[in-house]
Amino acid sequence: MKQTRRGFLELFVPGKAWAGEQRTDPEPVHYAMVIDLRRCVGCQACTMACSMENRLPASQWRTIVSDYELTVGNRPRRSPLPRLCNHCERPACVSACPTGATFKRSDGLVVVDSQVCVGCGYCVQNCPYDGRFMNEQTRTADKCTFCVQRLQSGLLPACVESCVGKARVFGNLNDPHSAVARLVRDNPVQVLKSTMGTGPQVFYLALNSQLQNRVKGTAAPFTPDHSSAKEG
Amino acid sequence: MTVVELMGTSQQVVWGMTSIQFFFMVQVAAACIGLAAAQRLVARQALEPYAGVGLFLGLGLAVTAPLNLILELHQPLRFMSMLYRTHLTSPLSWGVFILLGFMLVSACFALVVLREKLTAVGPNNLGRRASGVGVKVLALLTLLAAALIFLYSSMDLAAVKGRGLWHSSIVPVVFICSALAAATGLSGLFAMLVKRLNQERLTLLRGWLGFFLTLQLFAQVLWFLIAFVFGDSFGRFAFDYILAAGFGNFIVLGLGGTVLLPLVLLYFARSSRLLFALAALLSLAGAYLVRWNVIITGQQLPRTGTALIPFAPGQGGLLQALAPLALWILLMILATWTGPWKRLVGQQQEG
Repeated sequence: MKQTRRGFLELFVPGKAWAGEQRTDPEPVHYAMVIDLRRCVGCQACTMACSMENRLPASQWRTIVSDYELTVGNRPRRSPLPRLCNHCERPACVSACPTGATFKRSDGLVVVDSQVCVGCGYCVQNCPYDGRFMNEQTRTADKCTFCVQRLQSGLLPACVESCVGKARVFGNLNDPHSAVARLVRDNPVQVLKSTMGTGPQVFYLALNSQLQNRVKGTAAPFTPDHSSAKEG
Repeated sequence: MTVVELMGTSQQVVWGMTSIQFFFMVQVAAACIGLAAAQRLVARQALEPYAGVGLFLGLGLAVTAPLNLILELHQPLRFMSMLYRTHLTSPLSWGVFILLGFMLVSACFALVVLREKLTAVGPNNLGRRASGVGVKVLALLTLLAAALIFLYSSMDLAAVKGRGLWHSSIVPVVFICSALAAATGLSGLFAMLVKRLNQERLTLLRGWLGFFLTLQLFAQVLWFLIAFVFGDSFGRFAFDYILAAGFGNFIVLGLGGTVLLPLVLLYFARSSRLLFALAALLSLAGAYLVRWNVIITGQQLPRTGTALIPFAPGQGGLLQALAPLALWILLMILATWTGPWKRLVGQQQEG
């Protein structure tokens, strides 16, 4: 390598050398999801795929597509909204967990160690997105893990794989060439409940502002009945 | 724009009957023991009714209250594992140590007080009498432990940002005032039951109950007002619910039936034990109801969707909640049957 006067002088400036080293390091993986609501048809294929992949108890879901009818004037239209754990940057559930069973991994995933979880339910109370529930079989907190077992095998999460409209896009946000990074960079993306200060890592495209926070409207005619589901 | 939710999320109420029971029992225990310790610390005659009875009742409640947590966690070892797996950013992690510390300090305080009373009446010295300063230091520690119980058990609700009814700095104040009123009511009822409620004690307890109920009334009104004026969207939604569907539980029963009505009864209960007993019972029911309203209704109010989350305790839930209460009553019966409790609560009333 050709030695230059600038290069020689930089050897005596540790800060400069450190900054140069930082620049050359590859960025760590940071998983995120973008949901393009223009492509979502509300078919619940993701809901079922997740349920089967993660063997969840009946009537308990890690992801679900809420369905709304928005009417402006005399023109009603359907607006599905897939919901799941937001794998927040500053998760309220992690700081609330009394045993440290819930933690954020270096790749951005928020996971629960069910061996350590005592089932107190405090994380469920603290999650402002209703992204958690108490698993009836294990009596511990349960939530979306972006199908961590599939990621380890180089596969996509089950909900992404099964999405018929290709509405769910998953990948490494730190890789500028990934589809997720490009969507976030090139489009105006929204997150749910941005005022909570949790920094959600599930981004939405074309999210109606009426659905961004607690939805103000009339209740659903269909509400899942847990008791009948269990009996059945 | 109008919004109709065709399909929402399927959330459940996570903290049920045993949670309310825990908050009720541990906070009333802290109030009973805290008042007894305060009496010892300041040596005021006005606090005399709590000195023995309060300590006796509070100790029983403090011993049985953690059973609710064990039932809630479904496996006893899970409670134990919180002792060696700590996470200091969580109020629940602190709470386990505060709870155990409170039980330990209260037991020591009760032991020292009981020993002192036995020594005073015994034919010979049954043991070395504890020094006045030593007892006062122990009373101060007990009072601090009781205050920490209130702090942790209220703040773990108030710290939850996503729940409109929980996330308020006034909720701990409402809990403290209602627990103090319930502790006074319970002390009065117990004293009446074991015939230790003479006219002097009745007058004192009537005054304290009226005072704590008035504080509770102000705290609850302040809670509503602050949420209306300064509340965020979650808080306002919660209080819109209180004024509509929750009017019966929160205003009619929570304020009228269990705070205002006992205050009216106390006004006319100058020498009537029956009216005092009725007011005491209502104050106990009020302390339970305010916890039900905050904890259960707070979880029923939706955070994401539009539908109210249903809650029915069921037979199992009711039995789980009754079991620790039944154990406390059994403990009280055993202690009053066999133990030297008469030394602790004082002489029997005349007539």
